[in-house]
Amino acid sequence: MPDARAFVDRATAVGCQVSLAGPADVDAVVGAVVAEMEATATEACTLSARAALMLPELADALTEGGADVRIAEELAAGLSTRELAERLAGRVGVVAAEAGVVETGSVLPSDDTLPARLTGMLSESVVVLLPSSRLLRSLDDLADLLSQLAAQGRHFLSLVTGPSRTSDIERVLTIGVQGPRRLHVVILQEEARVGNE
Amino acid sequence: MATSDAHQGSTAHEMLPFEVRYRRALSNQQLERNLLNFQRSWRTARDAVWQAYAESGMAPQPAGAPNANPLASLSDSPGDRLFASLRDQMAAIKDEVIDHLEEYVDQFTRAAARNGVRVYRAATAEDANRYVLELCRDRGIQHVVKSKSMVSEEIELNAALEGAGIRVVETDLGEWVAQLSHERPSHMVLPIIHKNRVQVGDLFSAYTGRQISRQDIGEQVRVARSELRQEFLAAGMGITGANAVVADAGAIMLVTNEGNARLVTSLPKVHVVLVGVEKMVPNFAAAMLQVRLLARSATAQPITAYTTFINGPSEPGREMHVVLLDNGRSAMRATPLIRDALRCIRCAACANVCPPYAVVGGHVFGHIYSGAIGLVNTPYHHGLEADAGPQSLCVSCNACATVCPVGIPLPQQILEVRTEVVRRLGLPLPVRLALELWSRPRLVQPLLRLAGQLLRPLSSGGMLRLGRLGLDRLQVSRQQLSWRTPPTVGGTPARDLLRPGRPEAALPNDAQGLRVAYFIQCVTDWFAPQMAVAIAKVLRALGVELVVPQPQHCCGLPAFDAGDRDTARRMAQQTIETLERVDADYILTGGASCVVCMLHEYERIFEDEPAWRERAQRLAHKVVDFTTFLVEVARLRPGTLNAPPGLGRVTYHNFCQSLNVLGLREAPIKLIRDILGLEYVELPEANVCCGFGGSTSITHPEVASHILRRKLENVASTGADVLVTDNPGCILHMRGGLDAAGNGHVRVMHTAELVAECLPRGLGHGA
Repeated sequence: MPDARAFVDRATAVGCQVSLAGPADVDAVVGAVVAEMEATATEACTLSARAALMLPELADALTEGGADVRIAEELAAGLSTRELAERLAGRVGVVAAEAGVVETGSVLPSDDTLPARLTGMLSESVVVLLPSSRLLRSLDDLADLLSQLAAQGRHFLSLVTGPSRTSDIERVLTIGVQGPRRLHVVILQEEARVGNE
Repeated sequence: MATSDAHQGSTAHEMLPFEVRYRRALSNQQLERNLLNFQRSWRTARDAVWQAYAESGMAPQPAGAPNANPLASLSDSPGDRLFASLRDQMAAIKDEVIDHLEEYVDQFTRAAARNGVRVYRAATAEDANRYVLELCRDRGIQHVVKSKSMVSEEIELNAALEGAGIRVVETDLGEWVAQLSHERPSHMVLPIIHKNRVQVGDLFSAYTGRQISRQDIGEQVRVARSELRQEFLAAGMGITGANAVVADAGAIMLVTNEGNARLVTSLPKVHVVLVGVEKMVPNFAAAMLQVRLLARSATAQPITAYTTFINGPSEPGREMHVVLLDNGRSAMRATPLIRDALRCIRCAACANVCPPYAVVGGHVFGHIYSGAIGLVNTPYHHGLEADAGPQSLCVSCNACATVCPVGIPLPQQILEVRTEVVRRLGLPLPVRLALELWSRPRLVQPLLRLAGQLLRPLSSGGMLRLGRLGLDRLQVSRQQLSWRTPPTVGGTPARDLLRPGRPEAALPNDAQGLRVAYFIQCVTDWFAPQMAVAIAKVLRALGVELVVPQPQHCCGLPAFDAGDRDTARRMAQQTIETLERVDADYILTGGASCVVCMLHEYERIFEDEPAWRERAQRLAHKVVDFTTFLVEVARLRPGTLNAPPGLGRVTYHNFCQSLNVLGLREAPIKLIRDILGLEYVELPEANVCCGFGGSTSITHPEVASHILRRKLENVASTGADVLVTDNPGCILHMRGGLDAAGNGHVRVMHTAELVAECLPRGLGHGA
């Protein structure tokens, strides 16, 4: 199994926040989302349908905590792309990862609907839920996965490594240009693998 | 070499003439400062990111010795070895694709069609522009957003769309700033490397109509974010390039840090990809290898923030089109020496190590594509004339070849382009006259002897003091000589000072008794005879029998380097004829650039003449440079030589071709520090060219002087008393520079002169 700690080191090095959540530890995930809402001064968050499915208790737990929680695909219903984009911009996004890559500290979001994709692109802060079983060692392993996903009809596969950045002006690194300013990866550790890596 | 005449003048770009761009760039001190800082930090960061990868335990083990570009010598560090190994893998993949391009294009087209992508093959820039324009008209699109695409710059798509009244907005921050300033990107990865924050703040203030900070880059980036967000949402079409095209999956790959490409491809309903057909890779695995090489070479990152693969419209009612562009690429493919340039993944590493690029920037060093690769592909995309000025700035230092992540033999290709420019447009008159004269030893040698006599009153310390006659006030003197005191012509050439034969006493070493033919090298012979005397002295001390073949003159490198292949051929033949008449174990010269010429360039000069090529190859087995001879043949041991007291601190300049082509990296330093036992101090940027660069220093003295200044600043920072290197032209160039700058107390010595000063008394004398 790829090493979760090595992933944490690399993801941190590229500017991610990284949290670990034990098995069935919904509170830890809620904590990460709440931290991001505080950091971006909002009480609202958008969950992609896949994220909601990955951790079924999360939406309710966040709502109980007082957050305004919406499912991206539901939020999008009846809205134009412009309206959706404007709504998403002021909320924290929560999406699910298909995979994480230890070599680079990257995550591959699994969402394939446009509203879920836009949640990952337009939110100021994005929380990515990454089950530890989905850690891949290298970009070579990712290449195999990409081939499978493309063959299954997935059309937009975007590997994300840290928050959006630019060095175009005087080569000064500035975080958050067109994409999210903050990227928070929550590794969902699974029962069988805890403590043996 | 076939060039794409069909494309000349086909696109209406408003580009100022080369000379105007050149003058403007020279007067822009900020440009040079930005580029110099960038090159220095890129080099450090790029080397570190490879080293870190090699040490991470995550990298594949380097497989075998590097082979894709045997002319580019790399160090043996784990980072360099890993780089070379991945580079060679990628080069092999790209070559295979280029060899079977039609099959890959078919495979891609079928896979893309299955995913609902329309693929259009555009033969020319006009075809590509017309396709996009008609698509806009047909779909009623009036507003287009773009993420960075060099191909769209190549075909001048923005002008074509704007001409039809369509609003086009670049969304990469740097590209947007360039667009607002009505400029082209001056670097393929960092489009506005030539600008500063004050200029960006002023542009943004003018654009938004409110006061934007001229200092706070964070605020400027926020302005771009909010302004461009509106453009994304309003646009009907998103246009991107592609960093790779994945043939088996029918996918395109986009690599960005800002995240704009994801929005360009997700928000508008129509997505158009413009990509050169050479960007094809077989599968995702190859694309990942490219990512590893591209990000490290472009921005010294292990990977960029977003690596996106798109293989079809993801929603009902959406469209995706891929325009596969040829525009001269077939001609490149059909030209054997240029074909490898199609491997290019547009990382701009070649610009990031290029000394003349650092002086003038990408608006001058290139046409639309900049850096070394721009000098190679411009004739095919934009015509030979567009390249005539830019290619003349290359100093042939070979640095680009050492960092190219796909092993493109850029220096050789640039010389091919230069040769073609010379063939079609001729040489600048002073260069033509000088080469013509230089290629006729029976005419030039008596003239040099005479000049030596006449100039004696104006000479001191090996330098020509034109100020004594007021000649330094001439325009030509100010341009060519104010920053480097020229060497004087030695009235007595080296050939008259050398005494061949076998010495009696010798230092303990492994070269004793060998017979060595000494090729004096023309610059040494006439402008620095003391270097030849030093070499002869050292050889005698080694107990080597010295032979000085006659009639010898010049290996032909100056002509070859200037693109004058016919003259180079004539001089190479003279040299081969002279040298093959001597029976010797080695042919030694103190001119490292001549060694490079005889070992590598003769192959090309005689590429169509097998008999001559074979003669050159037979000779090449014996050719050796002075340093290699001392360290690897004579194998001098530490303690055999003694540095005289007071010689001081020594630093070493890696003559670029010695390092980049011959691979002389450790040997000279081992000689100075271990064998001679001198106090050695490392020279910062030791491997960067000194600016001599053959004909470039005559045709573009400003570039040569700025590169020299960079070198001399580095020398000054070491506090060294002695600067050592092994190429006579560079030595005279740096001596002249130090003299003109009033730093004549730093001695610039050939390696042989340093060794000669360390010989025990009584040995090697009477050379």
